[in-house]
Amino acid sequence: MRRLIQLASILTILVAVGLATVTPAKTQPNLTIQILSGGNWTVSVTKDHVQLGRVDMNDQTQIEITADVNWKVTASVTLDAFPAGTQNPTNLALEVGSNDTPGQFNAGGGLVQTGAPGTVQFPVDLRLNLATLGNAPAGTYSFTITYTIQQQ
Amino acid sequence: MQRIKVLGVVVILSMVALGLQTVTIAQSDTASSTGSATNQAVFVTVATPYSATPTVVTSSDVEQGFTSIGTATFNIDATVTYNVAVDSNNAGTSAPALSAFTIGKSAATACQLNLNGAGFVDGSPGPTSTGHVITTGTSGTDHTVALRIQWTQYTKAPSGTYNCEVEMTVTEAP
Repeated sequence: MRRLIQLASILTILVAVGLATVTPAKTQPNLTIQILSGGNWTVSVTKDHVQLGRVDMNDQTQIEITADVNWKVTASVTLDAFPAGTQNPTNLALEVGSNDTPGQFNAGGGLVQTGAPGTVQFPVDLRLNLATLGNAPAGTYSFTITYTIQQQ
Repeated sequence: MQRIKVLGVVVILSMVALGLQTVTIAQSDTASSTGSATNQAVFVTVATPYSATPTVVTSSDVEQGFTSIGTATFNIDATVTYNVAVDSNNAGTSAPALSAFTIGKSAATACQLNLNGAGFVDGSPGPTSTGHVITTGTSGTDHTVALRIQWTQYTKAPSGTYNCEVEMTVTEAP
């Protein structure tokens, strides 16, 4: 019985060592993102914007990513400041364009772009939807957009 | 006792072996952008001005007590509920030097205004109204202001040129 246990122990050790050595070494994916330009923007709402109901900022921010795996970039928006009396102060007022689906804008952020390994530069469209704010007094509305790259 | 120790080693090694297979590493990176939009909230333009041709006072005007000048249209775009005030009490309103008025009246009050068909009132202070935030895709809201000179406010209205300058002020509703 004692020999049986010893044998089982040795086999277990061998299996463990084997698995540890056979299991491929998992390397950490390399994923970086940086804003090349247009990261700090200001815009003045004009009469035309009001008539349109929104402020379009096409190609506002230029982003560069580097990845050695398939990747996706998402955006999330926060509304940092707004004038007193704003009827609906919500981050959903700022919409971020989806490059994978041209013409689609995601309120408050969402998927921006996906891609294969490599170094890729791409623009991001932004849109301020005035109607979302409802009764929007004069003043400054400030936003922060956080772009995150992750492995797909 | 020896058996328990051996079993313990076996269990630990098994757990290590399983653990080595389930390790995963998540990786991500972030970058932030900031921006701001400055909103004026209300925009006013004169869509249709009053006629540039002076209106000549007729005998029928004198009989009815006033002379109609015409109508101007103001276009308002706004992202906020607003108040509208129209008046003629500014430097562009005048009457000939020898004009005289009934008590409490002036060249400015005699320039009567009718805002959005609500009826004529004296030009100083002028009529007021309210408006609402626009909805997407509109071209603004028109506000019409009819103007007439009310001669009954004059006790003496000599020949000459009578000017009325209409001013619209749009403010955010409190």
